[in-house]
Amino acid sequence: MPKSSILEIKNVTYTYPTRSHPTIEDVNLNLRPGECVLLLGPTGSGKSTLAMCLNGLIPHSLGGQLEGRVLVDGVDTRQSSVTELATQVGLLFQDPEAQICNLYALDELAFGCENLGLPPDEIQKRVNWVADALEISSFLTTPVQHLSLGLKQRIALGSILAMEPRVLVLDEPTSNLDAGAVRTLVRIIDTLRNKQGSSVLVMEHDADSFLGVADRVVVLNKGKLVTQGSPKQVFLGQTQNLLDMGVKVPELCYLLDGIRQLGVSEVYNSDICVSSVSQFIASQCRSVWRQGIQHTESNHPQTKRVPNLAVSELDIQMPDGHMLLNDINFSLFPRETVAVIGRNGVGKTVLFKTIAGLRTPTRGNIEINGTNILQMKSLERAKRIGFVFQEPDHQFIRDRVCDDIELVWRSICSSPVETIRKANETLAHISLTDYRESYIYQLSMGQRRLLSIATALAPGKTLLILDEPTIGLDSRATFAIIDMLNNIQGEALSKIVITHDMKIVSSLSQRVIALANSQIAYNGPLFGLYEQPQVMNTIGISPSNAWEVYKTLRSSWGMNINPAATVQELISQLERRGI
Amino acid sequence: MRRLLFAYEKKDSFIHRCDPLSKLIWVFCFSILSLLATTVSQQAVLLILVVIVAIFLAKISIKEAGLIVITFVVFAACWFLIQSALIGGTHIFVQVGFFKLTYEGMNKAGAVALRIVLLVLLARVFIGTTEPRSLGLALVQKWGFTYSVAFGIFFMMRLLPLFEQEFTDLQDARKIRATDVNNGTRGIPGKLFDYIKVLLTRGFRRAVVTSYSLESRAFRAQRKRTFTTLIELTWEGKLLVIVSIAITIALGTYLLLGK
Repeated sequence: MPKSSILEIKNVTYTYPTRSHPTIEDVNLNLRPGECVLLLGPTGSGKSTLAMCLNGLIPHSLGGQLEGRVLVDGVDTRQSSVTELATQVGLLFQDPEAQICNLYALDELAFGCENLGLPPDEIQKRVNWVADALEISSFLTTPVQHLSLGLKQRIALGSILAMEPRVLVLDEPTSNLDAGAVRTLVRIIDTLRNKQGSSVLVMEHDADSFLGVADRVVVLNKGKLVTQGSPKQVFLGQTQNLLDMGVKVPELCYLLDGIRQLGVSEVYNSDICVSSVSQFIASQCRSVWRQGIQHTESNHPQTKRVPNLAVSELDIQMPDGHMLLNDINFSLFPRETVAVIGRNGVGKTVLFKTIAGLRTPTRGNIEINGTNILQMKSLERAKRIGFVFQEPDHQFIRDRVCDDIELVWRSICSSPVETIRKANETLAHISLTDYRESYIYQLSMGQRRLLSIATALAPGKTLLILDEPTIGLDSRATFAIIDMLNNIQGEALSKIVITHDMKIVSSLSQRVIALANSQIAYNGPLFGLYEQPQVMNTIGISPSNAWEVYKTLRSSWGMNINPAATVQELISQLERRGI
Repeated sequence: MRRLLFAYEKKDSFIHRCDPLSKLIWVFCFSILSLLATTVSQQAVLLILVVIVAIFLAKISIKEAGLIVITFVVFAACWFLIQSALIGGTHIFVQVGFFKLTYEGMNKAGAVALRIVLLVLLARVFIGTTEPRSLGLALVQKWGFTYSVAFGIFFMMRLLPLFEQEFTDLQDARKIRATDVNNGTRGIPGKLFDYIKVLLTRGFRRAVVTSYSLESRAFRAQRKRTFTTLIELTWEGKLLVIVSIAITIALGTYLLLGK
């Protein structure tokens, strides 16, 4: 093994004990000290399996057949126990709730160090460092069960970091984090590798966040390593291939691919950053774009209609007396889609569970089509409101796909034949016809999410609330959900999407409601929010790269260009105006 | 957000200030007494004592204590009816054909039903006032348990509120799909089975990841680990133990001799 590698994966093939085919096949990968490698791959590509090979859980705990070698600092993982490897390789799992085993963050952060038998003073020092770095110091003595998923994710990560492993393996670490927390995580990774020489392997769907710190990008598909190289080598020119695999590519690469498809023959060969990409675009179309600007029609909702949902003077207090949300006022109009954003733990989910009648507000009024929600019977509420939970498994009542979807239509259709017909139509709409007779737990996460949305939809609904509908999904499943939501039939339906993903916000919504400091910090179009850096800072978001490109093209290159928050909006302008 | 029934809740009360081991002894003493008590009146006296401890010494609100009792009274009532019908006796209360209820049967069944309520309330007081980790730590530091066993108990206690939270989420999802209204044919057993099925499936998945996570964080790597938190036996705890043992000896003797 080359001396420079801290981790070497050599011809690794692994087959689970209950399966006949390998989940990962002939994988080769090295990790040098201080290196950050971004491992991308669609759902089911074998990322998590590979992660468990690295800290010895495979084969020690999971059994199965492991071929090839995994060497950590020159020692074969077969020769060391998982607990011995714990100081070498720290593994953060996808589900933060399942790995937190203490009641308070303070105990959780100290847990691994205590197991290692470190002196109490040293443990205290490490806990303080991690708590400060992850910005969780104020939550150390709050019961974990009262914290949001994002905060739990940070606590789980902190528990690993406190053990100061030489190799950090993060399995989808950003799936539950808000944008601010993602930036913090990226900063920590950068610090760890630069100052402590830690090596980091990040297994992610979202390549954008790690573009600045990743030295190398590796792509895994169907258990096989299909490509690896610098971010530029992997992403530029292979965008469509990666998208076809279900890999989310960085927004800027998506933009460059769109430009290439418009017929630009010049090969982009600079760094993948906003300034270089903007310069490239400007160099291709500057003369044409100096002509007059033609504003596109605003798609902001007409606010003179009667709202589907009206929330006024709403207060929500927690059982411990803490006022979670105070004086919340907003309305939602027919056919409008609103994105709700805010930092982890700000109260987004609790607010909309209250609006759905699942919680009682401390004060205030919630009206659906003019009727107070508290005066509605549960059946009436269910007829008007659809709610897609963060965890799709909570939503299913039957075991089989067809039974669950038929349940939605049973109370609406006049006959069993019609019920089956409607259920089949719904399954066809979400491309699950082939899985009609399957058990729900056999479906992939993306398919379960699509099904959970379908179970929340029935004719006559006024309001559809979706809580993080694309969390942890690959690009294929994410696009499927965006398509589905954009094509939902229903004249009067209003949609609320609670999300941390700004790409989802710009793809789906006409308006954004941002919660911060117990109140609505912003309520308006996404463009307007991007123009207010102070508000963005408060709610912990950054503008999309597409927006940054638009601003650079306008300010640095003097181009007359309409505001664009998404890659599609930029490309459609380039297409309309000629490039 | 709702308050969970079976979760530790930080408060300042006499019972909260007692160390976990003293409370464990208190629970053990009252469980023994409850097993010795065979009549409704004896169980009622014990239940009243536990209710007093719950409300005045553990600061559990009357509303919450009532909610716990009512939640399990349904189960206890079913048990009462079955037992009443099965346990024989000479003094008939009511008879319909072959089916007869006797005073003896009702007395014994009533005692068992009250015992169920009493044990649930005891568990609630213990869980609600004991930080699970402190119990694990106390078992290791004071009673010499190996830490893997003690932490096993702690993780079990830690899972209870998670299951309860999950149960609440499941209820919410079903409410919003109005299945409680539309789904009349399956009845309560069907719904209960649905809940248990999901809870078990998810609970198993979660337990697997938790065990991997523990292993990955060097759990059981060393025979002795560091404890940053040290458990002290408090004077409140010592007082609770003395009183509990005294009551157990006194009432236990009475109950045994009374037989």
